[in-house]
Amino acid sequence: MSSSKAKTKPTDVPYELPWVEKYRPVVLDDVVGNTDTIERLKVIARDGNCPHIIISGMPGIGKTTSIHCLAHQLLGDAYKEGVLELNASDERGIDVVRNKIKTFAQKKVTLPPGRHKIVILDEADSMTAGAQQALRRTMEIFSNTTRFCLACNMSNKIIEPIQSRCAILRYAKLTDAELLKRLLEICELEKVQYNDDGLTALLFTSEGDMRQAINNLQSTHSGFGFVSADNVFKVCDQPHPVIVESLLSRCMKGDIDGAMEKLNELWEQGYSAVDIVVTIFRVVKTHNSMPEYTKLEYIKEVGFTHMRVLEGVGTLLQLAGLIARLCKLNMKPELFRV
Amino acid sequence: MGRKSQMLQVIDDHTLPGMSTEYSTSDGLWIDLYEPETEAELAVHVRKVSDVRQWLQEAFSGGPSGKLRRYRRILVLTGPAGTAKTTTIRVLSREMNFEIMEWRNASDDVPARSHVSRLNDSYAISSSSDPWPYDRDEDSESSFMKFQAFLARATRCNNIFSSVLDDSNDRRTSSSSTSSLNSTNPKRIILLEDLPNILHLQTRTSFHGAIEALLDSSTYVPDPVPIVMVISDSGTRGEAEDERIMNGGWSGGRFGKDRDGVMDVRTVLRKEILNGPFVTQIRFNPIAPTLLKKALSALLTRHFSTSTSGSGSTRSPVSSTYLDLIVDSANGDIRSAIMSLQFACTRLGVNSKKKGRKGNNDSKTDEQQVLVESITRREQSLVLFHLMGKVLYNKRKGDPPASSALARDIKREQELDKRLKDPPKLPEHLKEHDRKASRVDVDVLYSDSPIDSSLFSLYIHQNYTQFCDEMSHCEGVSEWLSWADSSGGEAWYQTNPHQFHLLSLGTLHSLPEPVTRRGQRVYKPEFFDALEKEKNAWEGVRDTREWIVKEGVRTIQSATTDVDGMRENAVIQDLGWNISGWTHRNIAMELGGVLKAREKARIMNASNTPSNATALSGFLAPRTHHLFSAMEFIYPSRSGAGPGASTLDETEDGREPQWGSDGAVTVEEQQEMGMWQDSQGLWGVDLEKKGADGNGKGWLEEDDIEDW
Repeated sequence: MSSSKAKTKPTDVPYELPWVEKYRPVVLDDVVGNTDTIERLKVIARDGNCPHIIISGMPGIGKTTSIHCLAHQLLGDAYKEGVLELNASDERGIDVVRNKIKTFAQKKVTLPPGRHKIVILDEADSMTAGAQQALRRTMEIFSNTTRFCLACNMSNKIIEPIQSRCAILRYAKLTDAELLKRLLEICELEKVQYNDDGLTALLFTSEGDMRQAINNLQSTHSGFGFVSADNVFKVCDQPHPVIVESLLSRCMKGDIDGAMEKLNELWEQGYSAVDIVVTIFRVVKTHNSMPEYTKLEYIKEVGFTHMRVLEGVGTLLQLAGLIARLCKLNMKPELFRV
Repeated sequence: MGRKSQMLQVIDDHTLPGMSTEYSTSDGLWIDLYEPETEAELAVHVRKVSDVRQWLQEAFSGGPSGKLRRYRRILVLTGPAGTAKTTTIRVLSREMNFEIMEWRNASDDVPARSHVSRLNDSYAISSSSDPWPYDRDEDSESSFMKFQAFLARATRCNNIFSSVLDDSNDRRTSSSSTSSLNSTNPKRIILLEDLPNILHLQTRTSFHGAIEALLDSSTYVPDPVPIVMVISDSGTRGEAEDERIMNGGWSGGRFGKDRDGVMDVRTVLRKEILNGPFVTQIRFNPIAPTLLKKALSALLTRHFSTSTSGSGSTRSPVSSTYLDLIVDSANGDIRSAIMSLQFACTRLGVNSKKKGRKGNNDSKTDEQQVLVESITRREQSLVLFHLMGKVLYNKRKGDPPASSALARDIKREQELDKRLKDPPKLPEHLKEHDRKASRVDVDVLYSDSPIDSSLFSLYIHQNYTQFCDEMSHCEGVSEWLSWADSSGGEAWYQTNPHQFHLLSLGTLHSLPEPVTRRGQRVYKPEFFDALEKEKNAWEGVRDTREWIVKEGVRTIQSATTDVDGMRENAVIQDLGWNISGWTHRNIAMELGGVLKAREKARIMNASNTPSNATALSGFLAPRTHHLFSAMEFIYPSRSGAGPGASTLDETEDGREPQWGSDGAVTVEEQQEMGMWQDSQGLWGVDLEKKGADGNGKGWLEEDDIEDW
């Protein structure tokens, strides 16, 4: 790993916008990934008559961004008065649905034909069942003037009657290539210095979440001035996967002493048990040269330990137990006969 | 249709000269634009419509004897979302010429519209064209008070103006004061769809109270206005919670949480009311694919014949195969089907040049599949079947290609194999677990998965046996399923991030390699049906227990009044009723057979000596005991398919496809047929009826999975 902890750039910019905001796409063309779906949204943006939409998918894959882009492109200058946005932090109980949304829906806004007011409900799966019930009829009654765009992580948290009223778009996770492309663009624009390992580390830590990837990029950049794998893991405060990987390979060889050494190294760096377990899981599941059975059993053990840790038993002993079990798997059973 | 007529007006505005007509038809949602206006356009099964119509007729005129009117007070329409419940009422209102008064929880005043009167906090009746200068004092009322007032006034056919204030508490005066005033439009119904927030306990209690007060026979007024409630099944599907709740059900015999999150008929109406004589429940089934397709094509024809945009082409760009895809994925939900259709047409309509490439059918279908894939909803999407196919066919490096595979697929597989590294060998003692490299990338599966892992495990559980050859294979899969389910308790179950990997890897690892092809199909999990059935069975158990207590107390009372001296003994022995001894569990476990036998005996007695029947009727347990005492044992219809899997088209095995749970439909059908009919007929008719309404769900064939 490159130890180039290069020149820390003087912070000559007093205030910097978070890059996630700065580089948030404003037109649908710029939204990364899910080409097919975005393509269709573009058609809607051009022709108008947007149906009710639910966009579901993991965090940080551009759900809210696409809805905003869509709304901007549909309404243009009228965006300000033609859009009502509510997210989970706004109060969104039944009263709000009944009053705020209805008042908005009844508001007169002059829009070109084929354009409608838009209600954006971000994180719609966190709405209570009651509020969703109340929304149900509202959507129908005002559909001639107002369209609803919902974003949620799990579309099955939305009650069926609402699902039935919406076109449901499912966003897939962004691929590493898509993430990388965007990251490179930003690096270019912000003149970020990086090496390939650094970008790989960003991809590893963000797990397909664009927002997190960009945030990590920015933090690493402003913290260290150079995006290398080491710096990224320092910023993200995650155990270095290289260490975890060598820990695992020692486990697979049955070298418990070596594995414990690595574990102690991580522990002394101050990582919590959860951090370590989660990283082990990530490394295991992306591990290329592990037989299927080993992978399966390892995930099982890691999962079990994860649970125990979450239950509050996040001790070194707990982790040592995990390591021991992982080692035992590949050791000859005869060794354990008493 | 207030909404509709306004909608049309909007469109007219836009087609004024000088305006671009391009938008004229694209403004508005098709579900609004093409709402059916006649019964012929409805995609609902004829039988259901006639059921509803008959009820309404009886409610208006009292049926042949004229006496039924008293009992036709509340009609509850239930069923999944998008099965034309409300639309049926609207269509019938046009046909039978009655007026719909709809309650809407609203904050602001909306002007009354032509056909449906808007009755929110201001009351406006459609016959009065002028908006009523309404005193806003009532704003201080809680919204429930408004609802209550609305209900009280509306049900009594009062002219609103006679009693704007505080009649909700004094029904008698209001009813006597206004009987003369309903002149213009005698027939009207109340539509309750947007109910008050009955998930809130207090509101629910008052709601129940309001409904009960309405039905209270002591305040019966002639000519009550029938109420139609439309209640969509609105469970959020695939939730692990359901399962947990059921577990809780065992302990107390009382459901703690299930009524809270889920709104269904039982939440809206108390059981006594629901089973009482005043309430009729009609369940709408998902729209049958044939009907759905017919309706969609009719809609398309209408759409493309009215919207002659510049091109002059009036033929719809949507092919029949494409319609099939939409129909398949809609799963009987017509609204969602139309939404998808409209959404899809924005694309197809624009890329009209694609139509030219008719010759190349293959790529066209591909494109359509992609299209549908990205617009379809819920777990019915093709993605899910790809997912299941990938996991369950367990393809590994070097597997011979399937016989039906296309050349390009074979090539793709070979290329994939080249990239796959052989995994290192396991140590000697684990030799049996060595596997060839899998062609399945679990990480990719995970990120593409349209369902959460608990639903995923249900799917695997439903289907894995078909793909196993040996008992040991089954054992392996079920082992992993139960590990994922049981390790770590409830909280962990819901958040376990490792679950998906465990499930898919575990399944892949345990299945035979290669999986023997025998035309397997992927079935939908029956879990939810079973859950519903269990819920209903519990309902039956509770009914029976209530009955035992009631009858027991009555018997004791009569015994003690008859022979005073025996009182003590009677109480001690409970006269064999043993009221307190019957827990819910006991009833479920032990009493079913007895109840069934008793009933059988009664029926036999009744046919031999009719006079006995009446004598015994007092001891008759509530009919709902069938829900747990007479559960059908359904034999697996085919190898592999689970019992009664909700599947298959009619040709498959002669069984009619079924929707919903047996139990649920039975109760409702019972009510439709009257509570006390002969039990033999019951099951027969029930099945037959369901068959008639049945909706074959065309599940994807193996080939569909393979094509990918």
